[in-house]
Amino acid sequence: MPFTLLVRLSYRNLFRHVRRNLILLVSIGVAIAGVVFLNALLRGMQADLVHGVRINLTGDYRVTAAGYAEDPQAARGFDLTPQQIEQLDTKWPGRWSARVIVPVVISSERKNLGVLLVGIDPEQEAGSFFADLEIAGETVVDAQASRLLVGKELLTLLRSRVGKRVVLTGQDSSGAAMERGFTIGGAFDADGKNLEQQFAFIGREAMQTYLRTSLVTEVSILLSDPRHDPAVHGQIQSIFDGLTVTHWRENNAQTAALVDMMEFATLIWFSVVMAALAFGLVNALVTAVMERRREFGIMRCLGMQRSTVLIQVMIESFFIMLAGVVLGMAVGWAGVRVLGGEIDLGRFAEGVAIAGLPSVISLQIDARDLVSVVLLACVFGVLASLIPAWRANRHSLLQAIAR
Amino acid sequence: MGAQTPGVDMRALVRIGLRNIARNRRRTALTVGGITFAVLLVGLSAALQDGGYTMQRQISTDLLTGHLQVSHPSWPVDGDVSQLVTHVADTIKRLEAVPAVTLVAPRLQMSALVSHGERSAAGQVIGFDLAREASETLLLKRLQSGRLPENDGEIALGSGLVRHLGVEEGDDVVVLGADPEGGMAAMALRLSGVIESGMPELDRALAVVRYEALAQALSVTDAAHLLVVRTDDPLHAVEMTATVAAALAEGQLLRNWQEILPEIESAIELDLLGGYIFYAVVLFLVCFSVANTFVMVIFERTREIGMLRSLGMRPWSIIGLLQIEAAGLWVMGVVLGLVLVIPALLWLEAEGLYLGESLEATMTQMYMPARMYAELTPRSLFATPAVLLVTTQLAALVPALRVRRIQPADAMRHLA
Amino acid sequence: MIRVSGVAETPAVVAGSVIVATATLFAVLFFSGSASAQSPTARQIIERAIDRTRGLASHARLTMNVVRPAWQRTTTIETWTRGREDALIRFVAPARDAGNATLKLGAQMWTYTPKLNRTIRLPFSLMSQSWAGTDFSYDDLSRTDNLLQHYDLEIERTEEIDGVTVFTISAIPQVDAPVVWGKEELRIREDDVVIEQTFFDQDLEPVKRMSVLSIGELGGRTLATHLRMFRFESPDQYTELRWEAAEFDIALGDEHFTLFNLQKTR
Repeated sequence: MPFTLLVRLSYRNLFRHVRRNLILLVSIGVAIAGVVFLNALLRGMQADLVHGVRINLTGDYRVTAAGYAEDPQAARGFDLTPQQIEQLDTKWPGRWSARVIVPVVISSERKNLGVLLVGIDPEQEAGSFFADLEIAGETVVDAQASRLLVGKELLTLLRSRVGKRVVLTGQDSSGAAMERGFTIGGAFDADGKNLEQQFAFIGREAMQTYLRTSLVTEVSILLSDPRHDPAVHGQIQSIFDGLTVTHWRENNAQTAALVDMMEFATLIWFSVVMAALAFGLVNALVTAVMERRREFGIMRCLGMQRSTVLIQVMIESFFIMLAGVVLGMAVGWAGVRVLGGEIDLGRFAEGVAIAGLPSVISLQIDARDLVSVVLLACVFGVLASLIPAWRANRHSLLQAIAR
Repeated sequence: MGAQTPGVDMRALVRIGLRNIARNRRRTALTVGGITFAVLLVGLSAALQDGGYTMQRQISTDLLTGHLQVSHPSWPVDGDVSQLVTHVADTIKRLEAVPAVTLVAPRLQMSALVSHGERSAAGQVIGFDLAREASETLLLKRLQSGRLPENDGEIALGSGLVRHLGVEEGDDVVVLGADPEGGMAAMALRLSGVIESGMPELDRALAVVRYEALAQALSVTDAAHLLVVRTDDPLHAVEMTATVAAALAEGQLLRNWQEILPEIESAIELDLLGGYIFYAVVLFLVCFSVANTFVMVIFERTREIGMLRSLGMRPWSIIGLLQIEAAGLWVMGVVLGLVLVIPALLWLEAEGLYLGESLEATMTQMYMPARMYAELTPRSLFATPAVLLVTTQLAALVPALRVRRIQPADAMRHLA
Repeated sequence: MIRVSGVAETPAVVAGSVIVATATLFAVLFFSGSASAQSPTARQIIERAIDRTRGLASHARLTMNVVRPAWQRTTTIETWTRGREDALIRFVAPARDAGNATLKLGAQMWTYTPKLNRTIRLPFSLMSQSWAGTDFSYDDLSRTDNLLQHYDLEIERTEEIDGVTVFTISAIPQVDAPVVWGKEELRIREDDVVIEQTFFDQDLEPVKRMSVLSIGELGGRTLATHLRMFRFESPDQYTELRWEAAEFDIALGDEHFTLFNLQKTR
């Protein structure tokens, strides 16, 4: 029997059994859509976590002077040369930023608190959490900006407001005590109160003036891949000879652990989802083929070869699978789009915001996962239709029609 | 068929239904298999999730907080060294008499300047009753090197503080703080060990001394800033809050760990919520395919239904028959699923699922065991069956409603 | 619960830091000069009070009383000051605290405890804080000589109290001033005795006040002999200082302000 004829026959069959095939189609479609959605949910949660660490000023790699990690002081800074800047700009397709970070005491009329004062050039901060901050008042507009940007939570603890003066006390680059009044230009709202309590921002050059230094205390490099790459590490080290280069995993062992665990959890969940998908497909196809035993018998009565019947079943299944996968992907993708790429849990769970946890789960579609979904669907689809069809075919003609 | 009368003979219907289930073995196997799979899959993952939460609660309370804390009413807010709980010995005795309480330990805390040579840093000095707490509080077991203070002249410091001060084991450390009456509380101690909790903020500030040593430096007797209470279970402790509070004297504040660490329960709730969305989708998928199988099977039985009608069976009886069949399949699937899942879960509850060597190091860092333990909860066992019962009954109803429109003659002629 | 604190959350613990600051301040503000006949400007009034302290060396003995709802505590201290920068302070009583001493040399500070026989250098971060036990804070006090540098001064009013002219001077910090207050208000008698200093927040609400409870003659000078610092939000908690004895313009050499001298218990 010519293959084209078989295809035509299968194609016609699809429309002859509209009801059954529609159920099958919807079933496959729903399964695929569900998997796409779940996968987006999982990947989104995982990405949020990793993203959260990397953008919290840590970046992927951090360059500091020796001893700065133990005792962060303006004196433990380093000079950033034009050659180094050029290499940073050209060597990797990522972002980098140079900062001055020192601990200071911030005082209002009623309270003294310790914070990390971060001198930044806002143009270099597009990759850090600074870029995502919701700001009331004025942000750090450029490297010369000398008004402070502090966290909302810090402002509450200080019992102060935007527009008021606070005093910063710390040590300048020579280790001498220094203190100065600053006006609070704006307040930021970050995911999590820790960030809001921990950091205060100011223009980098303004801060260098204040610390009487031209040095920076760190260069943070944010690449596209969060994984540790010894080659990249080595390259950075060779640019910054004599300085310390660390990967974020070294500095945030706990979060790294959390990320690893999340990766593992994602794997488990992915298996669960895949199992659910495979189960759905197999169940639907097996049922559909099993109920057609009588039909196969008749076809063989009409002189069709066993192999021809099998091929026809396979072609039919393939068509339905294809339609179902396309439908499912479309629906799943549309679902993610409709939600705007995130689920706001804050709307459901009270208290989420109070505890200072991010309450929005991003949805992220991972292309590699989708490919494995399609492959798996195809393998299971073919197997799930072939095996029962093959079994049904083993029966004698008489047995088959007798039912 | 005893269905000639308008009233349906239930017993007959049940008998026919069960016989139908037994007759179509393959179809039954497929549907029951589906239900079993759903119960197994969702049961396993939900139980592992619940087990994870239990572990999280345990570990976060074991670290330092304990389950319940007694303090001066203002101490949690002000943290002033003068805000003490008094009559400690007596209070401990009364708390220990409360059933399910496994540990009551006094602690003193003091914000202080911790110095070594020319270097100094702000620290949080905690005086532990090591005889009571050393084997219970996780933080005290996280020694990176050395040992806990063995006498009143020794101190253990967090790893960050050690690095900052540049101090080594055996070196002198001086602690300067204020006593409850504003006088100077000073201690000269020898570093006995280094504690690494894995939490950088804690490791930068922590200083551990013996309760007796800090009591002496603060010139207090029979007083504490905290009485840390542990019970048999964190959640039980929360329920016990009122009972334990009744055993306290006036002016003593009792807080449970959920009030002290609200972020733990929030994180669990948040995860649970994410989990619910996840389950909703998984459950929907599984139920959908079970329902799908069901619908398809029943559609294919149009011929049979027509025959039953032509034999004089009323439409409602046929619908009832299909519902009974669905229920039968559901029972079989759920029973089989539970029979499979319960032993698996019991095993996972006792033995745990080993996460592998690469994760072991990671988990240790977070105070977590390298095994995932399941927990048999009503949610993990019965949520899926409940949802499936509704699903299968509805699925059986859809084609059944068409029964009334099926004419016996048409149906008989109908070929698949 | 542990308070995981940064530097600043830890209450500064060393009594000396505050008392040194206080003593320095008094050297600046609370020693009287002679009355001036002309009607001066606000700046001149403050300048005069400060100028008189240049090179001034003093030795005093005072009692400090810290009052809290649950307790109160009285200590006796002895102070030596030279100019506005250097000071040595030593606890004399009660026995439990006797010998505890603090030395301030310029911006550096050390403290000594006889019980431990150790001298500790205090980090600068501690100086920006208040001492847990009292209502004084180093912060406000140590900046007093900044009054001329960072504030706009103005005489708000002049009044006669018991036949003595009292100037009320408002001091408003300039924009970048290292000062948290919105305004300070000083009441100074015509003989340069400061009788009250009030600190206002930036909404111009009063936060705390130091007021003089009595003025007397000591060491041949007219000065505030008893003063109290309290916060408006808890007026039942306060700290009082009372001068028992004082001598001025004495010879205090460098050898007096050394670590060696810090450790002398007597």
